[in-house]
Amino acid sequence: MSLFNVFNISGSAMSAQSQRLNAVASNLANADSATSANGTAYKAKQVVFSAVPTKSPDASGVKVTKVIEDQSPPKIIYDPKHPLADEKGYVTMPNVNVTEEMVNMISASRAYQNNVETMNAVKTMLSKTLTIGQS
Amino acid sequence: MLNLRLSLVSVIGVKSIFFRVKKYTLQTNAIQRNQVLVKGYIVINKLDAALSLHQNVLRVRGQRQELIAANIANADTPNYKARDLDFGAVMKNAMSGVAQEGFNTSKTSTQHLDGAPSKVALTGGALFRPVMQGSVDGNTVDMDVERNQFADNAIRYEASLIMINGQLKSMLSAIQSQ
Repeated sequence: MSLFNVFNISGSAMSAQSQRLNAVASNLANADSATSANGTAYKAKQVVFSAVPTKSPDASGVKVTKVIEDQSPPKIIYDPKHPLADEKGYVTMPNVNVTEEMVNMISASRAYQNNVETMNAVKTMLSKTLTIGQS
Repeated sequence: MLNLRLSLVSVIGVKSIFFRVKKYTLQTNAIQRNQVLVKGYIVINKLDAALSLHQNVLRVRGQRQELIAANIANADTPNYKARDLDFGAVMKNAMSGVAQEGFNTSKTSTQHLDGAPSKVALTGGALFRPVMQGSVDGNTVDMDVERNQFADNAIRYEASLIMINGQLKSMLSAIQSQ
């Protein structure tokens, strides 16, 4: 049944998008974390999506294959009073781009909503199919 | 003694006649049942033919809905190419019975009916959507197009459902008195 497979596809997309939202939340929360567990400034995390085949060969779902660390250079700010400042008074801050993260967040939440609507539409179609010949 | 033997013979004779009669009625029952089965098969075949158009439509629409849902799901996947069915071509295939993927029914009795092969190709036939506005990550999903097609396909699916319901209703009123 192809329509039932839509639940798998949209469900996989929803979990992938929620992982992306999770990464965004982590990045925004740590936008000012000058130090982390390994002693260096926090690095922004990004998820990588990829299409995965499902039961039907042409329609594919989504999966987060890996979470990568953003390799863009860290922000260097001048703050001599900061406890982590080097001898010249510069502090290494996380490379989180707050604007980018906000855009990412909106995109993820809209994509999530799209998939919820897809699922709902298919659910209505299936329940109408179940009542064939009953009216 | 003779009387007793006579009566025994007659009893056996009557019994054998009785058995023969029973055998005969059993045979006629089987023939009648076969006729009913054959008639039922014809009726079922006609019902099947009457509903086959919309059955095929529902199947292809379902398949298409799945593809569009996959496109919506992969809206943010790099290098994903949007896919869609050529509905007309797939339906033509389905109705002409070119792509046959039959049910393989196993029969444990000679009185079982043959399963009619379904005529819709369950695989293949998906094409790539032409790119309207390419994006840097190589993804070709245009959400406006996908949402549009998704709603369109859902409505057409429901139209087929309504038509099947109508057909069933008119058939019911044909077989019911008043």
